[in-house]
Amino acid sequence: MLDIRLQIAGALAALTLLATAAHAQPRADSSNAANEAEYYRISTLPIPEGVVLEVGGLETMPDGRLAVATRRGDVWLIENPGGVNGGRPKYSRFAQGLHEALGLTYRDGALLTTQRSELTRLRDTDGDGRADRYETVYAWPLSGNYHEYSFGPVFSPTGDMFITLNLAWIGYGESFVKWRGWMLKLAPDGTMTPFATGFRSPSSFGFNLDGDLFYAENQGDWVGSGGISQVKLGDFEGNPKGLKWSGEPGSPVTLKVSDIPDTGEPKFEVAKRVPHLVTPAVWIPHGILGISTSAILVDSTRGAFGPFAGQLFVGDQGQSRIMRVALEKVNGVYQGVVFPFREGFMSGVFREVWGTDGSMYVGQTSRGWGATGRAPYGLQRLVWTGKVPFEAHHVSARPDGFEITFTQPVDRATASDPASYAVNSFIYKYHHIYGSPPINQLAHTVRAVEVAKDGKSARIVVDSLRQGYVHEIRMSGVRSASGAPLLHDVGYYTVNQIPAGAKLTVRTASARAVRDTSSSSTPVRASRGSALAKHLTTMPAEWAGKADRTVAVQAEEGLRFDVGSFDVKPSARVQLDFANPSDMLHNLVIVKPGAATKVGEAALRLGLDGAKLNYVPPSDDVLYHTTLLEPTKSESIYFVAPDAPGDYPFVCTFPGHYVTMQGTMHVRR
Amino acid sequence: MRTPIFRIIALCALLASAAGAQPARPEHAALPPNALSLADLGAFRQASANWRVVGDVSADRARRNALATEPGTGILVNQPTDAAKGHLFTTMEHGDLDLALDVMMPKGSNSGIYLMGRYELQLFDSWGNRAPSFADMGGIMERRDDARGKGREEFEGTPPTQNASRAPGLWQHVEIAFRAPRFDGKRKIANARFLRVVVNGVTVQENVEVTGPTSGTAFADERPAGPLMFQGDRGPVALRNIEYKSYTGRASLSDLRYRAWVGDAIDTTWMSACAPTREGAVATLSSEPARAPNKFALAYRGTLTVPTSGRYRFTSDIDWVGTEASMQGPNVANLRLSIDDRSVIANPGASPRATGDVELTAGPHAFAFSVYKNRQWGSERDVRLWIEGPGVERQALHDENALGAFSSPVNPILVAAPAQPLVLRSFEWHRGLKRAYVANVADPAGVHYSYDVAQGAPLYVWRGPFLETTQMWHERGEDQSARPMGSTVELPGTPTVVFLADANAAWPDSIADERELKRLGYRLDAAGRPTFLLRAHGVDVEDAIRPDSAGVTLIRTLHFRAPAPASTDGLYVQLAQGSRIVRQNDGSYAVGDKRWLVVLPGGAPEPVLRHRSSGDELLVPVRFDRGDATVTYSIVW
Repeated sequence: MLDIRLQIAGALAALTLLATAAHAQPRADSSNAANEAEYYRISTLPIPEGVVLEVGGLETMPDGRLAVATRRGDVWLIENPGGVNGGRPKYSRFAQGLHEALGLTYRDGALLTTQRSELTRLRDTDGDGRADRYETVYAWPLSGNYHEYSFGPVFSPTGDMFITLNLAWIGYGESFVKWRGWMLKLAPDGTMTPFATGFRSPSSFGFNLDGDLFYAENQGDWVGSGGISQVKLGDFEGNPKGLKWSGEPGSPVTLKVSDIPDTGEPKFEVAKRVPHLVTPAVWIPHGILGISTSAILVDSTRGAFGPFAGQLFVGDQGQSRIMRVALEKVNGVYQGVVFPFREGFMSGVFREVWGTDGSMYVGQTSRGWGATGRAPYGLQRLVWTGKVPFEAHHVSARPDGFEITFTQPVDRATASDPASYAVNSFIYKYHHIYGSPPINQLAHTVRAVEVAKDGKSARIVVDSLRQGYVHEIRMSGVRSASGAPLLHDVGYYTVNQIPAGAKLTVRTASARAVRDTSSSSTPVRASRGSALAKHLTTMPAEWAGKADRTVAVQAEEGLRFDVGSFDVKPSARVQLDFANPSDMLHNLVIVKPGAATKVGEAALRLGLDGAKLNYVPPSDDVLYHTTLLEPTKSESIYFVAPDAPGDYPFVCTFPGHYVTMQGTMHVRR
Repeated sequence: MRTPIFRIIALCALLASAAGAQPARPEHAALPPNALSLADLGAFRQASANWRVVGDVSADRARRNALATEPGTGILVNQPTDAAKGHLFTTMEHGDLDLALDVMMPKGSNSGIYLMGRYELQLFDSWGNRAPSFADMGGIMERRDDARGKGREEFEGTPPTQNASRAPGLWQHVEIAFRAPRFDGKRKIANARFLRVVVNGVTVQENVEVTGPTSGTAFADERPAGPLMFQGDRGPVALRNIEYKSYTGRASLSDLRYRAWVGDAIDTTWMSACAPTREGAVATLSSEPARAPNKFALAYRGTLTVPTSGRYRFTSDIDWVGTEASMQGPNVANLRLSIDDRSVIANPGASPRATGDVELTAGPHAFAFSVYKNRQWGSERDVRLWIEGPGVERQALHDENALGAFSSPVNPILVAAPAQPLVLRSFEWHRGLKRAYVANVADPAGVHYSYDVAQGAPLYVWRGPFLETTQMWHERGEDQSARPMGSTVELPGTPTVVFLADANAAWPDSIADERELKRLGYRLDAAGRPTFLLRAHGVDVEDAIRPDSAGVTLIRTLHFRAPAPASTDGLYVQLAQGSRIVRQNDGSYAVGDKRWLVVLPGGAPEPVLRHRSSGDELLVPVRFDRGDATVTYSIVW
């Protein structure tokens, strides 16, 4: 998160971007990790026995050592983190006993970190390799709530330091003490300026190559979905709890809590009436591309990491993956597209930093929240193999659609066919409730496509772009000149502004326009009757008020059910009480024996349609299911157990949860 | 310091509320113990002249076996001479016994508590001993049998698991749960056992069997009952607050039948109107017959038989009722207990815990107990019921083995005292408040402290194991607190360095203004020990707390530097604050009813002892010499 501004100290070897002879790229249905590995390889750093490396901060030292700050308060220095020349990374402890260090930055011979209640400078004055000065640079109050995380510091190009302060959590976000929910700026002389507020859980932030500051937010109350937003002095990011302190001396924000409507309208609509309310530069659709946005790292490798120089790599803790964001500025406002990039990390992706060789180090932890990668913590390295994947490199908004630029020349026939593309738009509610379903969904018609002469880009004409909305752009039919499909065939572009300029003349609109929704989503095909049978929330009258068996299951923190298994008799009338006292969204889906992974993976592929289907894929493998429950909600469903004895898995199919969140319904006599 | 064994303290890891009260369940109030009257020696058999009742007592830390007394009552003191050094026996005889008392050992002294006059728990001035034996404070004395042959006369003996003892001249607290040997006629069928021995809050013995009377016993045989004996022939000792519960029988439940309901509309009228989902006979109370974690009701009926007549106390606990309003009330739970159709407990979900007393005659009584859980979620389903009575130890009427059957165990995370000094930041509970700016400092010497870096105030000092961090590092660490292990002494936690407007101005409980006190961090010396850095109105403060050379006490050195133009007028250091601070003959100051000592180095100016309504305070005005000043004192416990 800190390292967006990091300039690589050593000279980078000029690597030639070799366009690979793209041969057929087989697509695995479940996970793209195997395909991704052909271009970006993950290797795992060994961690000495006994070291609990729950990564909170990560930094590359000028000499190439990696510095890692952990939740348990250690700062480790890792010599030879890349294990070059067959060597083994060597760990030495630089500092210890810090209170949950959640950031780490090297500056002028010292390491700077945030503890829960202070920004601390760690210095080694006697040169023994261990810090002997723990200097409090700036301190702030805490109420004592566990959720009062503090992040940073990040240096601006002009030498100011920035830190962010999480809200407390008491069933909702709260700012008990000054300046929870704020970003603070510290000048080199130590003067503190409250910089912006409206933050909920701003774990990561940093500057892009143009020196503009961005932060990553997590879905939650007042946050319909994760995303990244630009932060400027006096901005209000959306969660009103921090406004409690807007009347304090030095506050650049004048909004009051009472100024913020709680109507559930989209945030961009509210922002028209509420000055300084910021909408994300890029929404990162919750459940589709992550569930807990974490790290932001700008590609400052000038090609050493592949063809995406200047773009942002945004991590996700819950889904153990990294997304890729390409920003542009339209009418002076940042917006852009997010693509999947790399999945399959071992734990929750939390911090990213460039090594001196242009590879990316990925610091990971799940620390009680659970993650798709099951390890509780980890440190991995992501290395470009030198092969260029066939990808949409970036997307630019046009007055009448989008221009998609590819990493390799496309096959003209498929790339110029409107049926190769599909565009859907949607947005989220802005309200005090935790999260939001996608709302106001609309399938757009791709009316025409024009492929550039060099075959490297395609301009697609879409009827009526929607300002303020996220546009899902699917490119499933596009092939490269050598016939390969895209490594990732979908991106999500947030249209904050629609650029002026010439529209494309659509010559063959009637002939080529295709109204395409089927390729982007799987419609619900289940008949009304069977859908009802799969999800019945009232007890059937013929049961005469009595179930044969009542079972209670609840979701627990850490992506688990509280009950690992339960028994029912064949054909028993079952009442299943499912409760969700956790702080995430969950469902419970009972599936045919052996089908848990298959159904979980099918739910992942629902994409945008997932939310309206409660992430229950329309599949014969699904027997019975609940709706998707918000935190603190519960639901009872009624069903008749299968006749056939056997082990029927139950699973949460919310994206990313199925790996760990499973149990078994034993049907036996 | 006094946490009597007669109260059960159950901390509960509920969600931490923001700031404010500690998220602990209230204590169960146990029946009051019996007190051994120390108005005179009437509670004892014929006492020899070495035993007296006095009003106050103090020890001189420099002189062996020196114990000075003041006339009065309430303290039992033994000062043996060659002529008079008899043991002291209570007229009370006991078998199973819970005992709690305060004890003061003068320097180098030796005494003991003989349960039933036979089984000795050693009292000894073991202060600073790193490898305590069975002959140290909290040890269970060895046995002796000359018939075993030369060199083998002595056997058994169990040292305490750690040395939890305090310095001579301080009041220490000892709790013993002792169980007498069992006999079948004259034949012994079970040995005597020390179920538990707690010294100064640390459990130092657990479930230690003693095969026969220990060395120095007053009786060679073993019997079902005997007097409590205090050893008189070795050294002086002072005892007070001697409280006990003696047990003679147990209550029992029989003919227990349950009815269980599972459904949506749980309430008490519904329970009486609807047929139960199932019913049957069981051996003990539990919520398991409901076979559901939520939305269930249970009603038990049976026979409760008690061994003696008198006042009985029932205490109950409902797992799924919390301390927050949303987790309380009739929509959450309802628990009722009646004996002989008289209501004893009626808890409409108002609190996790409820207590009820009833007078019972010896013999059988009709027992009726019901509870419901009227909520859809939360897997907590355990319910507990205890009984305590005259001669009846507090015992569970519920199935203790059913507990936790559905809960996930939490592996404790313990930080051992390291080979190098360690500073570990955390939250920490202190006097009911969560402190958010705490540094816990471990020393390889085995003497540790915690320190509020924002207030410049030590919070706890202790020796032994270092820290438990489970609440901070397990899962999300929602309480986020660390807990000192070992035998801790709680210090006031008030700021140490304060500018007072005048000598009578009130000392603040805390400082919020950074101009008055600003934390600047800490530096580590070559050995890794921290010096905390603060600034008070422009005066730089260095606060170094170090173990003494023996690794037993802590020496605190505050160094001040006042660069011009910082004013130093009215700058004070608070050495101690407590309910009562007394200057002792050896020059030390005993704080809080002789719980810990402030010791000033020889030649230091006398501190100011202020008596205020909030308690006593020991202050030192800081005297500067060319812009520098130093204040040094020792914390001794």
